[in-house]
Amino acid sequence: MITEVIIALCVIWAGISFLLFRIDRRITSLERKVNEK
Amino acid sequence: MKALRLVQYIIVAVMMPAVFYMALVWVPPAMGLGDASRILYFHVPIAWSSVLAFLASGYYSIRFLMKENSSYELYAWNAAYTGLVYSVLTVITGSIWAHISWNIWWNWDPRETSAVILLLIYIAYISLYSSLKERPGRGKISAVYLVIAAVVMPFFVFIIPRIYRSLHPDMIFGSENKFDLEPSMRITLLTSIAVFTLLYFIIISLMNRASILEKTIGENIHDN
Repeated sequence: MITEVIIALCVIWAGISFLLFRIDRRITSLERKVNEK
Repeated sequence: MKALRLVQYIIVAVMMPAVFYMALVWVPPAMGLGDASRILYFHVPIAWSSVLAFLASGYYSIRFLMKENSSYELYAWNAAYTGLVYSVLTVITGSIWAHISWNIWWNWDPRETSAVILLLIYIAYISLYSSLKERPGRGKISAVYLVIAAVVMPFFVFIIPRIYRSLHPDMIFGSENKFDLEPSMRITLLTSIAVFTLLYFIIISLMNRASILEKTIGENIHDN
């Protein structure tokens, strides 16, 4: 049963990592725009 | 402001491992549910964060409609987007718990059904906002939609699951399925809710800062 708890935790952290990845992509795109100017 | 951010990061860095320890080791398993009950300490804070996100999207939309400041439009989008991701996580973790306690992944319980309808409402918002790209009135149309969605959301989260008979445990209001929490469980749950709420605020403030930078840099590029 603890396995399911660990799976649930992995799912939650995958989702939070996805959000952080999206922020990282936006910042990378901003850096590119600033460097192009 | 920088000091406040640093304090937020320190609290999350210190308290998140503490929440893991409390939820996985310190707190005793709930009677009848065994170790599976430990999902509660992560499922409820994530669900709570999604409710906060949807309320924030409604609040920013009202601010946008009142002030017509495009920053609020971006904040509302960020809040709705994070709320959608958190809702998906709530549904998945809830489904894992359902599999353990009811031996079925999905049984269209009123709580599950209302969660899916809520998901569809916010998926429709993302589609609406994306489809109106570069069109005048995009901000106002999507803001009105989000205000209506934020008004409807509490009915789906708090009222409908309590009107119909549900197997979902109810910890807040009295019901037949009331899930009594021992003091240690209550402390763990409240600590987890506080830490995950803080983590949500960190994520949303990062997204909002990125949006403001995008707006500023975009305007500067057009000016030159």
